[in-house]
Amino acid sequence: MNDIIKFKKKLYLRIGISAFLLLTGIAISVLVQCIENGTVQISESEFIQMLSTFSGVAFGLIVISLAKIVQYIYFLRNKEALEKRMLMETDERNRYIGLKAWAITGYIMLYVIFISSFIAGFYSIVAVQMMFYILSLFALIYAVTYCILRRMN
Amino acid sequence: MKNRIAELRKQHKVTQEELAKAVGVTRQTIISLENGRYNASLLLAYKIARFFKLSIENVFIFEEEIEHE
Repeated sequence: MNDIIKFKKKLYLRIGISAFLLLTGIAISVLVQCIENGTVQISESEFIQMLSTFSGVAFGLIVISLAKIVQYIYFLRNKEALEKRMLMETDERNRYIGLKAWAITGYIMLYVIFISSFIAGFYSIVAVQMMFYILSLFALIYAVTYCILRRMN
Repeated sequence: MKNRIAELRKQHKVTQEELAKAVGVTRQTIISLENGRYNASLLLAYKIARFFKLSIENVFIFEEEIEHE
């Protein structure tokens, strides 16, 4: 019973995060509209070229966060669905698979960025710098997380 | 790590679904345990052993000991 209360709290937190993402999506969408209408004037031409990308990001954020909010409310109202979801999320094999999938994805992404940085060198030095920046950040976050987890466990 | 989950389950006439529900995991986890594709955590091993009213070593068999014999 205590586990269900804990899981419900987790769902409320997720609803809060999804609501924040929904508001972010709406804010981006409104900003893009204002720039397109000329209500907000900006001079950087590169930013104007990115407007369609920002519109896409805003649309994605709105749709996904709305869908997630609806899904979480459904779980909170339906006891059977809540228990089923809780079991799926707390099942140790599922958690193990999830962690393993993250680890494999991390390694693959590192190699992809590393190799891509050499290929990008033929086209843009900014892209190479950005990729090495991401690689360095990745390594830094990993080192900090590793140290924290080692102290905690 | 080998185990006697399938054998014990049949002895006690318990379905995979019932065992899964009793120990708080999905049926897929029980299937994977029985097939030897997944090794249970100490907590899950304890829960399964307690379900069958046995000790952990009577349900789970440490393979290294068998290899040395």
